[in-house]
Amino acid sequence: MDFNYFIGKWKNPFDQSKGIQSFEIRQESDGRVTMEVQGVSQGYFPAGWGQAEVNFLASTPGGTQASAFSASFQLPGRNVFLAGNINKGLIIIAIYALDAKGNQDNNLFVREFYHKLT
Amino acid sequence: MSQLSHTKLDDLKGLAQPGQKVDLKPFLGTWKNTKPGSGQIPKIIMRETEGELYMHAWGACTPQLCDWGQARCEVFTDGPGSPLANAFLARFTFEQMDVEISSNVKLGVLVVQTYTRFKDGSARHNYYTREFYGPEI
Repeated sequence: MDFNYFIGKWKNPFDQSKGIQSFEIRQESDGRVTMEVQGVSQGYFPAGWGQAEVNFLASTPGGTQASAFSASFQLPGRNVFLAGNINKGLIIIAIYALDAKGNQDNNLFVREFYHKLT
Repeated sequence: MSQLSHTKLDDLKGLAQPGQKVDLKPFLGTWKNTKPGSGQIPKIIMRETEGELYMHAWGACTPQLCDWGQARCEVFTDGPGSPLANAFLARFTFEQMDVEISSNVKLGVLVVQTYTRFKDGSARHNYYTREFYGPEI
């Protein structure tokens, strides 16, 4: 699957974001694709999320062009699932943050946009 | 028809303070189309001059971008009592076509709709596009 366009650094242009400030998707020497996330300082999540493996998805069965991805992070107190997709060059990420102890009152959903840094 | 002071409930939500200026900051700066190889408007610069908002646009042309020049924008806020600009309209007039722009900022992204009307008698249909812009860094 062609996921070339996703590779690189992406930035959130929203200055009042409480979610992800920026992230980088890169291909490692062993072929795996990983994502490193930087949270907004004083946002809903910690600043450093660390790194997680990225899974790419196509829009049609057997499609060879990646149009979306997912990744999972274990953050303090929350398990976070990221669902991202491309729309006209922009990455849109839906953040599903589930309380690690199953308390639904602490679950959180955030959706943000990211543009590619050249 | 009777004269109405409002046509919907939101028209009544607050009044602007006398002399209250509309904050144009969310729009200002240089914006780059997020879509690689867009055939529309790759670059936009938004400026404020004497309290008015102006849009300078460049169309996708080869070998270099077509400079459309700048157009004065009609600004809209998010409510009748709000000083925060969140959308604008602009119009670029050319010999063979007019391009009307409607735009808003959503979560830091400039969303631009274009309505292109041909007036050259050609067989081209008027058409609509919607693209996204991130701030140039």
